[in-house]
Amino acid sequence: MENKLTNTESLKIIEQMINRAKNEERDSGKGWIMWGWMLTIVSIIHYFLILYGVKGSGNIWSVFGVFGIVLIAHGIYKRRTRSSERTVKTYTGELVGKIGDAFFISLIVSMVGAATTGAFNSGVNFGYLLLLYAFWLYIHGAAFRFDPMKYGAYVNWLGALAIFLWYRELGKNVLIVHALCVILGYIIPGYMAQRKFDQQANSKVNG
Amino acid sequence: MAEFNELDPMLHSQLRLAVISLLVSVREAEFTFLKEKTGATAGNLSVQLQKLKEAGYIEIIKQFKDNYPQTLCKITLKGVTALEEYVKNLRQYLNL
Repeated sequence: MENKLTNTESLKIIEQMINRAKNEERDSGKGWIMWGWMLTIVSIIHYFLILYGVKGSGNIWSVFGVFGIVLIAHGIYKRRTRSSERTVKTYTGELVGKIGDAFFISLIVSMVGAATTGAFNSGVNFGYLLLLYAFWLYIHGAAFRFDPMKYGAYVNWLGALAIFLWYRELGKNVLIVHALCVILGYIIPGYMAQRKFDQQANSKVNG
Repeated sequence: MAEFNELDPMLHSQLRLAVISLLVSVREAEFTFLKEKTGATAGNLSVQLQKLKEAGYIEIIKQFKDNYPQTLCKITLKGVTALEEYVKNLRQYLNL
């Protein structure tokens, strides 16, 4: 049986349904947290290797690159599995996924390039990495309408600018700037996204 | 006096309007997703989806996923245009 609709009810249905579909795409924050901690830890290890005069300390990023490739492959596999379990495909999810792939490929190529050319030892390369992070954070934050990630992008752009302007004066401290930007740009927004995701999941179960 | 265009009877039904509004926001959705979001019964939803399909507003793809039958629905260009027109006429009625 079909219900008769008033015009106001029609408008309400359209609004409600569009909002329900819009909220389908959510970020669990886990990827940001894991990736963020990995980058922070490697940055700090690199800092101490320089501090204690270990030669070829920049090579630690090559090791990180290998782990990164394994992690990305795992991420792509998981996303495909999850996607086949999902009952809906959104334009946002599809676009963000593709941009994410492009970001990680660019990041890994850039890290391999920096490790082989020795650019990690000059420090300026971390400015370029922060630019790349900011680009991805900003797009992701905008797509998911999640402002903390956009603020994280601003922090990373500022960090990149600081490194480009003062990388000689900063020396090994570029690694601290890099780690701080990752904490503020990835880890903190990641935990905030995780909290929001859990709250939404709980409200769905209870509601 | 302003003339009012008639609201599309195909969309001026609670469930069909809900389905079209959901599908306009996503790339494609499974039958189970539409059922969950609209709160409709499977039987009623099937009937309304068939009507939307016959009107050319949606495309229904039936396939198998992991040995289970799967029904995917997608809005067509005709469906998008119809919803846009419906909203335009609705706004005219409501003087928005």
